[in-house]
Amino acid sequence: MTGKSGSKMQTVAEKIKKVIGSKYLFWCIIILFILQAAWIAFSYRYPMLYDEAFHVNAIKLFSQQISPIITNQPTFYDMYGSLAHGGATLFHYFLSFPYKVTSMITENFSFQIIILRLINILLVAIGLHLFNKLFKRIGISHIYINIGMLLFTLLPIVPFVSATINYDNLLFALTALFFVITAGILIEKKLNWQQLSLFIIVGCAASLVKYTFLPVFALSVVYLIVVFLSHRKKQMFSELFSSVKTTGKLKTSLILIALVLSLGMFSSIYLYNIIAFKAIQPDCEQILGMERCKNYAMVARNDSAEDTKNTRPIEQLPGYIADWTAQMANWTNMTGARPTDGGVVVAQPLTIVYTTVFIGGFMGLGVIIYSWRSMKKNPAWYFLVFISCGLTFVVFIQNYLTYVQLHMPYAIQPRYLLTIVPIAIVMSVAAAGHILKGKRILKCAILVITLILFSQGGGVITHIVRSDNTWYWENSTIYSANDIVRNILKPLVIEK
Amino acid sequence: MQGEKQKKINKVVHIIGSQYFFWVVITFFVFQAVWVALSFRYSMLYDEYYHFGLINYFSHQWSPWINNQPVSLDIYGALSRNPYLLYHYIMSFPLRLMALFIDYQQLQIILLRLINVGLFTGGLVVFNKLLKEINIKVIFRNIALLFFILLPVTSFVAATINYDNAIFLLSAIFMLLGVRIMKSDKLEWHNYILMLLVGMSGSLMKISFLPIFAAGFMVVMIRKILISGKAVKGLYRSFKHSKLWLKIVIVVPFIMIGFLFIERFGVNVIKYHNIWPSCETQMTKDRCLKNVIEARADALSKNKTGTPIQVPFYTTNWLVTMEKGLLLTGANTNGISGTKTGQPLPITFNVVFFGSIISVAAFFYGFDKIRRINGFYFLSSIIVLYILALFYLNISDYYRYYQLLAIQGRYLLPLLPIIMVYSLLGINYAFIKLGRFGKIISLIVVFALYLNGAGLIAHIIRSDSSWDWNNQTVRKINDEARGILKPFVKEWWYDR
Repeated sequence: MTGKSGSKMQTVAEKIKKVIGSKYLFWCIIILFILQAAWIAFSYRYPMLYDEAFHVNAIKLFSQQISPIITNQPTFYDMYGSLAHGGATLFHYFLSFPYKVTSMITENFSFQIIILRLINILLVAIGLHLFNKLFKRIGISHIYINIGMLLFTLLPIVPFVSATINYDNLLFALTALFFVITAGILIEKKLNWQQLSLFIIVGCAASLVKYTFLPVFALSVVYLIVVFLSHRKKQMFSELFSSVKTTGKLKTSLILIALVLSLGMFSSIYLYNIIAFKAIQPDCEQILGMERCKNYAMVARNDSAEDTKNTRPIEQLPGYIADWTAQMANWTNMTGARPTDGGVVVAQPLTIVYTTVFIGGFMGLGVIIYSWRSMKKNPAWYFLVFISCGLTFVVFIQNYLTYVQLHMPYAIQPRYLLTIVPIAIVMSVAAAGHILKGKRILKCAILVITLILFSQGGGVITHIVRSDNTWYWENSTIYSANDIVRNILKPLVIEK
Repeated sequence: MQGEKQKKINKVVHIIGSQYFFWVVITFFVFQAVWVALSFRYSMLYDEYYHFGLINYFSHQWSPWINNQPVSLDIYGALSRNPYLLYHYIMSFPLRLMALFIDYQQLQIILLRLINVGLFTGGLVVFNKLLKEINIKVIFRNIALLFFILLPVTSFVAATINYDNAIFLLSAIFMLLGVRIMKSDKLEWHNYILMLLVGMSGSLMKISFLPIFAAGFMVVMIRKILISGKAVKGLYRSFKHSKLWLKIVIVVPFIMIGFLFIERFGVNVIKYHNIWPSCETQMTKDRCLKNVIEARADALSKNKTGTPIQVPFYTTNWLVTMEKGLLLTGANTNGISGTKTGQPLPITFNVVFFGSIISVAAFFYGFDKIRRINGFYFLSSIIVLYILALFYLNISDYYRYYQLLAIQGRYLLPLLPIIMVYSLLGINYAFIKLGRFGKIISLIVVFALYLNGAGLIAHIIRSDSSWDWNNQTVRKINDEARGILKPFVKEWWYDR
């Protein structure tokens, strides 16, 4: 390569860097994400794969009452398990309001569903914005944030879950907000009672949206306690009191009301469950009784698995871990539907994107570990890594205990980890950027190759290529739009 | 108090880090392998019947080739153009010698097994020399080799009449020569020719040596010959100035092996366009089907059904099966049939599994330090190319037959001592903050857990009398040892 062409390449790389690192690109990523998720929301028929029927019915149940707490349920809802005592959550309660409004406007069920789906997409978009804020706050450069967020939104599961009416979407936004607040507490030099209160309010709210947030909340509390006791023990209380003094009365009252409300609701669900049922999330049988719970598919499935478990030999822990890992990667890239002829169809991931995500995941971990010592990190990095490891461990243990109990690998779902995936991806990208410091052309080449690989099934592509008309709303425009796009994509995507 | 603790720790470090400890490790290894050789009946699991059968056949002829293959040899596959017969040919000489004095086949087999134990032990000694050559501290060498010889597969393979034992020794010699060449500023012709000689010999023994040979030789060529214009001249000068006896001792075997190498691989490539021509190009299909591997491949290709798993699932399965293969035991209780396998004991399996995950992470963490080891890129190129080649062969077989075939942990043996040393160095670096005391205590704990099913223990615990020679004393000793060990070894903890 001559010196002239070398410097030309550098200039091009510089320009690319400027574009990728711009704020506008982040908004383009958000728009791309919304387009992808909206495409699915408008195409896929109700109910979508991830328990959409359960969530819609829970929303419907709340739409018939004002209180956010359900203590008993009509027998019609038994097929969705127990909705009382935390089964139906704050997510369903909040969405019951837009549902009420749309049902006032129209009786068209598809329209109501699509509106609710769009709200879910909006929640994830807000979550993405909050994650962007979080990463900026912990000192990651725009360029890495944008690349990381783009890759995240190109994971097939992301637009798919976002397009589903599902509490995972509100949880995504609230978790991002929770992380922003906690990172703020850790980064700020002084302890502030407003931030601490927000930490509790958002933590309680997220736990009330889905109980799987509880380990994140608990681990965060433990982490903060340890950090403050070890580093700021002496000035902790004086800082807190002085921040109370400087807060206006109105603000104080509002925060206190929110604190009381969130803690009150939190206690009325979880504290009550612990006292009454000796469990954070009681079994369906404990609430509804054995007979009524038989109508719930999950209970029936587990009962049948338990009855036949001795016919299936159990695998040793390493074998289970191997399957769990591959299964997680598989479900990150698969698609599926409940088509017109009933039942459930799960389509296998497209090979290249699946393999890219799988190998990329390990490489990402490798580069984080490799550059860990030499990278500049602020205190929130450790917190985010701690929470990410903790949540992964908790989800794994829960899956594994189910496996040991039923000898069936149930509930291995990456969507339970979606709240920490952006962290893992953005950190990996930042770490890779750190390793390749000064090698702009190489960095550009890697990015281009990654995007080419993602074009082989990333984002909505998998869902369009793998689906057929039985997966869609019965509407000829939707059929023909998907057919056209599928016909364009199919020759470009390696399906094998 | 503190001083006394420190003294004790220093003493432990001194013992583990002594030269004598290495010989204790070697003695312990020989003891384990000899126990297996004297206990387990013929034919042992890893194709002992194949290797002994061919050695026995060669012991009746002087030629290293089998040109007109008798039908009685068809169970070993097509041999006329098989390039991997050197081990059998060489081993036929001790068998000829034994046959002069010993008629009793069982004794011949045991003696051949002991020679194999000797080959493997020789490999351990050379590996120790290699590790010394790359400046690894005695303590790390000793610990790595101790853990290595306690993998159940090492004593098991060593006690089997199998070309893996010769390959283990040759790999160590090949890498030692390579490292010496890489380290040395002088150009010494004999090191290069010896490297070629060992490389060709290994390749004429087993296909899996080819990637080791190719990667090692390529790195040496690139580093020493291609980037130095005067290398060829220098080599010629060193040849000219060396002693005549040295020239004869090295050049004569080099010409002989070189001739054999060209006659096998060269002719195969020219005539059959394949380094190892398929059976059917040499014999009729009926004759080929007498070989179990050919028969299995034929049956599998006819009954290929279902959808194959994708690469990520295959990869995780491959990794776990490989690890399982390092810990398995088994026997053919009826000649070459009646195969029984003993699954890995759970605690050891988990120690190895989690140990390898931690090792990989620690390797990345300490990569900057580890890569400064002498010969790092030379050894790593061999490791990477070898593992990729192995994985490629295995996955190709999988997509040909849709069956997990030939995934054997023992194929990693020629590289494991190096891999284990790298891991150990990474772990030592990652846990540097633990201090000497913490590290020694951790080592003791891990070692105690590892012992719960390591080495000979696995073979004794998992076997029964039907695995042993039909000899009262052998069976009684094994029964007693089993009776003593069983209460200490955890066999299974899951709820079944």
